[in-house]
Amino acid sequence: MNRFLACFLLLVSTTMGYSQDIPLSQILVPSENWKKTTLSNLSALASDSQGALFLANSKTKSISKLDSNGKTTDVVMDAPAKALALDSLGGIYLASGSNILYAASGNAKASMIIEGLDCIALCTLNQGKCYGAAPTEKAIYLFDKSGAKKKVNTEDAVISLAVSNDETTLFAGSADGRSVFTFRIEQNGDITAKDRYVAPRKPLAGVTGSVPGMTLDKANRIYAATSLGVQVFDPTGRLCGVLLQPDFPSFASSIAFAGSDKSTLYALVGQNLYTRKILFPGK
Amino acid sequence: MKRFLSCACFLALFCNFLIAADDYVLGIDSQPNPSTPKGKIEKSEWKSNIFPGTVREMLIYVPAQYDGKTPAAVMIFQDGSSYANEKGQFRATVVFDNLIHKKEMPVTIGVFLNPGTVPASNAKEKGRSNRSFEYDTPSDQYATFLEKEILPEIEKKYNVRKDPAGRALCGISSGGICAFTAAWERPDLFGKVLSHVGSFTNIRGGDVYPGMIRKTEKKPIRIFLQDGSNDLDNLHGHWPLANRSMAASLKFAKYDFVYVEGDGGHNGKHGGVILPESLRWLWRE
Repeated sequence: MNRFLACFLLLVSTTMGYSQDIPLSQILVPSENWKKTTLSNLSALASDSQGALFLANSKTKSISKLDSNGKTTDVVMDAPAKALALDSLGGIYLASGSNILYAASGNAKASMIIEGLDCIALCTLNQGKCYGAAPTEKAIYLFDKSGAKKKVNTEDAVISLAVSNDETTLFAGSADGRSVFTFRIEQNGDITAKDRYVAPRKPLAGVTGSVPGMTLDKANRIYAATSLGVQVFDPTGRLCGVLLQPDFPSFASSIAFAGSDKSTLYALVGQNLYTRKILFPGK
Repeated sequence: MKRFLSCACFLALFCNFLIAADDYVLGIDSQPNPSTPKGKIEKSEWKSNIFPGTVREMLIYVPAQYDGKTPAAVMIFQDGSSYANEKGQFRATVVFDNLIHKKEMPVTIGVFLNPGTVPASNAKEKGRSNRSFEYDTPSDQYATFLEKEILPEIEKKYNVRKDPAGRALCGISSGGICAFTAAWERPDLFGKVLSHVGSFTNIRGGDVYPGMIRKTEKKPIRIFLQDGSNDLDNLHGHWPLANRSMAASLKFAKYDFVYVEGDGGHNGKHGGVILPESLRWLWRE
């Protein structure tokens, strides 16, 4: 029944413009909550277009692939990573220390492609290029696996990145938690027309917010990991609701949709991995 | 069971509007009159810097009575093309023709602005709509856009009033709260607001206004609010309650305001029918 309802709502939301005004009750699976997996010592996660989840292990310094049965297989060795992104060929970009590495599909060894670039978030385009957020220098870079790089933003400390399904818009979560910026992605990958398109809910008092992780679903809804929980916004930037933290008061630092139908939301909390079924599949 | 549920979902999503009575009929002031001089409409595209990368359509209505010597009033409509549509729910240019001719409102330049879109760099893709960001955000960005970009463009072309009482803002739904927000932020620029089924709800935090109105020294803004008892009730809020709350706060703070609630839903039928009397009230001396 849930699958039937999800299919119906997905059809409506993606084809008829009704991805707006959808409350959490139509996004969350009834009675489903966050579930803690047995996986730990994790430092980063990302998914590919087929729904495979890739996890960086800080203890083994390896990148493993999680299959639909929950079994992990190491795919890259000797590569500690604080951020990951998969390209359309199955290659993996890694932010490792102050360097950017790349491991081609099937190659267990990652090669350094850019030295001295300290990125905290990565996000790929279909053409194979990758954006990297470098908040310490308030910059966003665009690079490819050859190591060619270009600074495409020079004024914003952002700590999370996501690209819209049609690759027209780059979403970037600000380090101060005030905004998710939007940029128009130009044909050459440059980013223009910045605005503070999405305003995440902030704590009523006390600590400031942040947006350390972000992903999109197929209807271009924005899932932003924040200190209050995962905040879901419709494609026009309006808040649909806030998912509670998987492990209060800790909060997710990175999130991604994965699984056979990409309808499982994975969240990295501390070094642990949590999962939650969602009615709409991810991008 | 599944078939029943899918039908129920479909009906719930698409047939909300059937609940409302909405049996409003446009009056004579909303109909073209062959003996009434007709204003001219100039169409252009506006590229904004305040909302970077956006483009939008702008229609400027110039009444036949405008002579260029006496400064005309200015009224800016959000979602402008729907207000300017002569076969739509509002038919604002027709109403302007009739009321200005009868001297029931001043000679007024109408500016009909659509929300911005950020065009995709790939022409095959759809651009990003900026409507909710521009209209629903309770900030001064839209007022700044009007101040720095639209008003100078109008003032470059036409002799218009620069006093806030000579400038009005109007909008429907998110455009309604947008009109209020711009005047609230810049009462030195805009002194009149007309809101139809205004979204004074928590789309982007706009539900704060009733509380703010009560605890802020009264601003020199004249406000006409319209809503319908069958308006939206969704995740963002309850539109009739939000508008009633706005009205109660405006009354508490002794504003010059009117709140009219019909039995319609989230559309411009009722607002369109009462547009002539709304404009007479808003523009009265």
